[in-house]
Amino acid sequence: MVNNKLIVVLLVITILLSVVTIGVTIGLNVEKPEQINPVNLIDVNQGNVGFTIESTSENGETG
Amino acid sequence: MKSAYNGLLVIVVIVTVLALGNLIITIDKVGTLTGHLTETGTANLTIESVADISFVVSNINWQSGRVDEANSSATLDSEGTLTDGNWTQVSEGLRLRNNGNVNVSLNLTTSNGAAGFIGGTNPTYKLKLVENETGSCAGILGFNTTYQDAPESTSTSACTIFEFVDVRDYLNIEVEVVIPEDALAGAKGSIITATATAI
Repeated sequence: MVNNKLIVVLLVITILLSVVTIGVTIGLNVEKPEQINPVNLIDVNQGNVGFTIESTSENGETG
Repeated sequence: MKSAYNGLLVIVVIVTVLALGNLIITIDKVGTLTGHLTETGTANLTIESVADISFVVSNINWQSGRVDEANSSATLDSEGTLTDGNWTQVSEGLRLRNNGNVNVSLNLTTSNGAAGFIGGTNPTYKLKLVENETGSCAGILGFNTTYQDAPESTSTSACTIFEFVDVRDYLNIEVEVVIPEDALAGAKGSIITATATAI
């Protein structure tokens, strides 16, 4: 009968240890790598070039 | 019956020891990986890569003018050249800076070519790239040395590695146009589009 009680106690301890082990494992703070935002990897910008041509006799206008 | 109990007891003891060992090993590994069980703390941060270019000088405007009566064309560029016409001299081209925190490849395209931009007989519209800060283009610099035809509607490599470091992140885009005397009067404009892709 003593052995029976000891077995039950040991089984309870085993179960508790397993639960604690699972808890510790789940508690691991494993961070996921930052997702790279593809929008940040391309940039577009524009510049302007311009002038005005005045009217002359050579370009078909009055001049 | 008693021997069966003893056998079961031995098994239970073994399982208990294994579970205890498993717990100890797990805690030890967690401590190694994260420092949770040490006295040191861990600070983590992530710096995002951002491709960011901007035109410090975004406009070239020779204002209004005409080809001199005695000449068939006028030549203008953004380096101060102004021959055979009375437009306003421009001595500074477009200035492009890599403001991001990553090297980029740079492509250029223009909204039109010489014919669409200027018109007339044998117009030219050309670009030239120059490093404003030495080493700004660590790769292959396009449109270099001499003026080359504007890349009308075709995205063309201008610099394969445009650096982001402050002392070398600056390119000049110089522009040259030849305006024939028979180019139609009116306002003329072209958009130069720079596309930076992180590498």
